[in-house]
Amino acid sequence: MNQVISQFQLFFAQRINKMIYMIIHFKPLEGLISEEWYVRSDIKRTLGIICLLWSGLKDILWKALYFLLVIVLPCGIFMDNAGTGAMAGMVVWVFFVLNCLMGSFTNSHIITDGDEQDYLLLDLMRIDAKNYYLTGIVWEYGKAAVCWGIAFFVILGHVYPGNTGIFLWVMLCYICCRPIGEAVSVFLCEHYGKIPYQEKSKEVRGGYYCYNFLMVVLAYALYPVLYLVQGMPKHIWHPLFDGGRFSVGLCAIILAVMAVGAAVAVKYLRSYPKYRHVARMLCSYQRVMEHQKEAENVTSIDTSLKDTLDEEIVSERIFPDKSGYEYLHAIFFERHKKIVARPSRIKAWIVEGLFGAAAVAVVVCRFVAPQAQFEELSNGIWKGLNAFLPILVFVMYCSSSGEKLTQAMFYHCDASLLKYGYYRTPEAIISSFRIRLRYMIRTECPFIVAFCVGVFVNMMLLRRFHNILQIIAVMCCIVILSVFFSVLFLCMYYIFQPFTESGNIVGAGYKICTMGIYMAAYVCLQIRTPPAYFAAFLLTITIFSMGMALLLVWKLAPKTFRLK
Amino acid sequence: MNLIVDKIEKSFVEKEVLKGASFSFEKGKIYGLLGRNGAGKTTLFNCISHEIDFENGSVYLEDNGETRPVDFDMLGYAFSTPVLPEFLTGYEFIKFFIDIHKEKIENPLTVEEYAGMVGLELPDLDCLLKGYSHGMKNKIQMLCLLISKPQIILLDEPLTSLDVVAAHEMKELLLEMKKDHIIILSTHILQLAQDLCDEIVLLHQGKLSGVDDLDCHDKGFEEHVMELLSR
Repeated sequence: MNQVISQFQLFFAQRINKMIYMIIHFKPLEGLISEEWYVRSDIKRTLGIICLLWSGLKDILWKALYFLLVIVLPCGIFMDNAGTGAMAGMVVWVFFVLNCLMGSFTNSHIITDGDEQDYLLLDLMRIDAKNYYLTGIVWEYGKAAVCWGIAFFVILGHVYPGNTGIFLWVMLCYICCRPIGEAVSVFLCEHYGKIPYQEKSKEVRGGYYCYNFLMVVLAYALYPVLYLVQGMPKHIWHPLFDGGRFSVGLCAIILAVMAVGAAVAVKYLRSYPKYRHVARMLCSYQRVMEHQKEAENVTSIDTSLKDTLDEEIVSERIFPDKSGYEYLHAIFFERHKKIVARPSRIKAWIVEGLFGAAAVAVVVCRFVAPQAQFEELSNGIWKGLNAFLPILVFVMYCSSSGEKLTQAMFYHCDASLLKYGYYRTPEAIISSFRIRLRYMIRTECPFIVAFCVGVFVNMMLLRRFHNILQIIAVMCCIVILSVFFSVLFLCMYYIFQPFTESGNIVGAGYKICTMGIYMAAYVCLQIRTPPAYFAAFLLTITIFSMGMALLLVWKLAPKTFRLK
Repeated sequence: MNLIVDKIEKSFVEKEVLKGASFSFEKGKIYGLLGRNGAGKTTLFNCISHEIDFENGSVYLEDNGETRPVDFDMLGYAFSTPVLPEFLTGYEFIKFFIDIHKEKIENPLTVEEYAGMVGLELPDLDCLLKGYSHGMKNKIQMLCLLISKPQIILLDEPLTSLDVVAAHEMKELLLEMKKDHIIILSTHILQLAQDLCDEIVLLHQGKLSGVDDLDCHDKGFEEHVMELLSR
């Protein structure tokens, strides 16, 4: 018991100290709060209660959100016209499948990556591992059971009265299933010597995804199907599923099986002799540090960008004729083809394929279909193209690799070089910006050319010669939008430089602008206006924005392009 | 030529790290900056190199009675953990570094010749920096200082975590470089400071002080320093 109390004391002391640290370093309060807080037991006690309440409230809020979005809402959609009894039945069923059958066997509280707290308690302070893990599962699942109990008995009990029986049934199933799941995890870990569900081989991963997929189908599809067929004569579920829910007998059998399983699982968990070994495997110093570093790094930079260096092509000295920043960036773009040139080429291939197929279809139609029908087709496609213009903005935004590229530039190049003064001089910053701008525009060229040629050739095949000016306007939109999204992200990167050394994004400016661009691109989908006006509007806005962005880079980047 | 650190004050939130730190560093000498953990050695370096702002005081160069501010061209900073762009090979990084400093280098050598100065072998030059060991990265970092020849060199625990051979090579390199530079080496390893430095400067309780009353190679120096740092 003493150990359990010490465990919780340490856990809360750690959280309270973190909280005090955050308060002391919170800019608006800087200087107002002293470090004395760390030794004031009255303040720490108060903060401890706040922490505890906040932690409980956070748990309840998350669970409520999950309950609403994952369970109640889909049930409402699937069982739209069913009565409250059937609705409550489906809610219980979905919860049962997702949280008992799926959650218990695909997650584990014991066999999971250890965190700093686990390391401190188990490795450094050498507390009893068995006690630590068993107390942990009782605490975690106890908390969860209380939350789910509130969700079922207080909230759903009020919305769907008269279903206390099945609510109690599902709660008991939940309580039984969790120890079974933990015991299976410990058993698998013991058998294979690694963390099940996380360190997955290809076969295990395949099985894992299949199981999850099956469970999701089972959760959302089986109940409505049974509900629909229940009225049909001689359906196989008749004695077990009637009146919109599973029969009492079936529920009792399931619960009995689970209770037996839970008893066996608890016995296994209590008698398992190797918790110390498990602790050593899961929360060694090295493992926890690696895990922590990964967690810090993953936050803002796309993980796929971390391994984009093409190491195979480092066989000979390249670009001997280039020098300085030109040399540096030429090598950067050459060695990161995976995220630079390749996406643009793939986009170009897709566009070439689509427009090529369209051109073949148009040619065939031209020879096969009568003149009037061909004219009709031509007019229809022309109308479609005009309607496509607002969508084009969003398409170009989504297909732009500007944001990813700037992240890669930071992660692979600037994060290291910005530490040195020579790389932060205004001349160096502007020179690098100019070179990168050129490379990014050049990168987009294959896609732009493929798109423009595709539009032009198809329109000519459709005999839209009299619309040549509008076609040119559309092509201008393609060029400008493609360049715009690449340039804009680069400009924003240079103006805000939002990344910290570890790759986190700080400062609101960058986030607000990124959000603003997305919103603007999305709003364009709603615009209904003649294509000529839209093209003119688009050209004006994009050229003006690009001009402003470039100007801001010239003015601000020498001061702001620093490591945060 | 002297580097003057004059009454620098720097605080973080409530903690006053530098409390009017002052010292004069002379060209041609290696100074060992000693201090206990958290004394503010890296903070002092960041203040000297203007990486961070400080509340009060100044840092300047004094040459024959004339003073001038320190700008980053005059200053080279070697980090305890070298950070280099890993997508470049050693050759490419050195070439890039020579290119961007070519106007300041008097008699530029070839990349291979420079590499030879720090004992980097030719096959290693064509490997990505990503695969370099800590010692090799440190050599590249020191090579940058050799190429750009800044007047002031700040070394933040440069020999920590180097193997004995690499540490020895690095020491030799520093001794060769010292005559034209002001070198300040921060460390908390007294033995290293005694081996390498001409003078020891203590950073203790936010202030800088020399250990003038005893030569750093004398017997009893260690006890003397311990006594000063324990006060």
